[in-house]
Amino acid sequence: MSVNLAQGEQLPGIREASLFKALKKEEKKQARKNWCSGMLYVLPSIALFAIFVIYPFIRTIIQSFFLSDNRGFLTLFVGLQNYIDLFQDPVYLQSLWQTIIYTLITVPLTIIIALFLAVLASSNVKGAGIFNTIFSSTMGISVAAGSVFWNFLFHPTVGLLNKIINAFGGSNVGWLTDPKIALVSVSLVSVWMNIGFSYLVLMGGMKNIDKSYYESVEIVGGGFFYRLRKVTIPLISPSLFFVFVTSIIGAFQSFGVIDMLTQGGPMNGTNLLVYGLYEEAFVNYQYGSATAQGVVLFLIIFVISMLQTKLTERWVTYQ
Amino acid sequence: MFKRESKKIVKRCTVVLAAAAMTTAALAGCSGGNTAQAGTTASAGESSNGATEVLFWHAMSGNTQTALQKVVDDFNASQSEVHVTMEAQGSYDESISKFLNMNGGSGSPAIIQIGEQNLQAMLDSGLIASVSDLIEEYNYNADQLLPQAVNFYTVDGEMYAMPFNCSSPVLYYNVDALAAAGYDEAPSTFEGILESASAIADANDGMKAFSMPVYGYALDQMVTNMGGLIINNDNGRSERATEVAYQDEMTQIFNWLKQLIDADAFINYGTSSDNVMTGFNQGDIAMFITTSAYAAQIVDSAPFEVGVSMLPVPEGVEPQGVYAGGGALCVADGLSDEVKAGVMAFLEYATSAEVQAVWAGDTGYFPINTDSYDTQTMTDIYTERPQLKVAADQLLNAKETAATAGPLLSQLSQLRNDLQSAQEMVYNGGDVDEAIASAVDSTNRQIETANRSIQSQE
Repeated sequence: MSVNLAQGEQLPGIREASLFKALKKEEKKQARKNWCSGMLYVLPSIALFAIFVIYPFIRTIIQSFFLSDNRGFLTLFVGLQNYIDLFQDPVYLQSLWQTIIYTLITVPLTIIIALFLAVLASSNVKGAGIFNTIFSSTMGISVAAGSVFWNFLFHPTVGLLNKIINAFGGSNVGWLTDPKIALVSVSLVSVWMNIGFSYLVLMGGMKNIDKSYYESVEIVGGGFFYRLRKVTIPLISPSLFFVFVTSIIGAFQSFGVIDMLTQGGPMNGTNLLVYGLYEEAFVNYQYGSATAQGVVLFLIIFVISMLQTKLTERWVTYQ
Repeated sequence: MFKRESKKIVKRCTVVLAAAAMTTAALAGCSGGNTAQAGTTASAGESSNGATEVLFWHAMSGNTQTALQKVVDDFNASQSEVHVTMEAQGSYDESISKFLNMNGGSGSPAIIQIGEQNLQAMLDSGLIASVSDLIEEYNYNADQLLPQAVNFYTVDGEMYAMPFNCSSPVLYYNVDALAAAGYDEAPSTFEGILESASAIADANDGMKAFSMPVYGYALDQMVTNMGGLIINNDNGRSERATEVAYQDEMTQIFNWLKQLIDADAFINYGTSSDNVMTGFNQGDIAMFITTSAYAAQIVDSAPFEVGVSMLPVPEGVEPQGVYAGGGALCVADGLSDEVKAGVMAFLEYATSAEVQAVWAGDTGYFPINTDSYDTQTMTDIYTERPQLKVAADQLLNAKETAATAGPLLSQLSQLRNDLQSAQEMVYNGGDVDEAIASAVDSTNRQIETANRSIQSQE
């Protein structure tokens, strides 16, 4: 309407201007009204978000520039000292490096195994429903229960794994006590725990693939791998992408399995970022250094997921 | 379509990511699952039947939790004015950090069980009342308390925690296996244990002589027993400690462990005492060291006769005894008179001679009430299971020195964690001096930072 007026017949200058102003005003009023009612709708979520995310986040950043007493009250401003100390602390650098290795082991392994199981279970065999339940069952097991169970398997002298190795003439392996092996053992448990969730998401993706694509493959005469490569994987790429992102974030935030099985040992060999952070805050009461670790962890995850979106946008396809 | 969908996913992921990362950053994500219970019961006030409600946070689990439940239930049944509600809050360290973070807010306990390593942290927080004052106010008979335990929890003349569950690490051994190797009892020196290894292996189908879980508490009690200080300034008792002081003794201990490993007389079970006990019960090892708190369980569950003896020392060193390890009960500051009276009624009951005797028999802790040792109950328990008496004797016969007063340090848990890393290093073939140096460096740095954050307040 305003465009009409501007291009329309000549009106006396003053009148045009005032009309235009009035219209603008009306528009603004409407916009403000819309904005207000919009805000009213999102207010509850903004309030919750502010209290539980934004405030703690800001508070965390502030705290990371201070030393604090063991109740968490700020006592001494130290600027960037907490961050500087962090990157000079060999244990922290070791845990950073180990977290990366742990992620590199668990994420690809989890996704590959879950994908493999999903492909198997989605082929039209009898009793696929049973396999669905079995393969996703680890989702229903708590970290604590799963860890206790694995702890028995890993026992140095009476654990099942070492019994099997002994039966084949090998000597006992220190699954959780040898610093060279412990991280791998813990990774195995995590993979086992995470397969259920990844499997379920990938399975969901596969169920959504239109049958006609597979019929086309059959007409072309493509085999199993052709079908997997050209149809299944591209069409579940959104699910794969989702699993990939959440798995990496999950790996960087791993805590439960470590706490239950090794408490970061042996020789800090399984000390991952979040476990180290937990110890710093709740065992040593060093909230300054712990919050600095939290901020660094946030930045790492932030950068990784930004990179991921950039890179994966290229090969994620939507039906 | 492509763009919109992908944006949506990106957005969703970013939100998930942001939320997840921020909770971590806010230190909310990993404090354990038990906090939810905390809000349900108030520490103060009256329950429906008019009894004063007292909330009690503890850190016992398994066998010892059952025993503690019995103490509390019996107290509640014995009178109608006070009702104590028990809440398990994880390990000592977890429970303490929750308590400190609550800053005395609603849902905070009136009584909280601490481990000996938490005393300085509780003091620094200013959230606890002086037990000495309560003792005076309510005419509690403090003369009955074990002086060693009282000394440990006394700082500058004031007692800040009521001793409750006292323990010390001891050496457990397989009596049958040692008898087969020609030993009536476990060797009492490092050298003796090392020498016994081949005889034990020969007589028992290759059984290894020794194990010790990766356990900082046992290490620092062994240092104490050898007469060494854990930290400077008389174990932090004459002045706030500024650095560790265990190097000489710890080097001897680690060298001994290394010799055992080199002699193939040792199995590494990691940090879990449970795993060591399983191995012991299976006959994989003949001797091991862990806290006496599990003594009743170990003696009862082993399929063979279990012997308990005091901590070994290097040849030529006279054992000095240990400090009063284990746990004690702190009382929150600022309670109403009514709740305070309720708390004291419970403490009086829980530390009484008879209750302490039964508690000791059920667990392996030893009574902190000196009168307990004269009760018929205790005599019967010690006649039936003389093994339980060893841990008590180790403390009761301790010489009174700065070493046996025990370490007072806010970073004691950290000190033990660092020692454990060093112990693991030795268990995996690392160099002893290097292992100790790295532990010393790490702990000293932590103590320095912590002292700075405290001093800036004063």
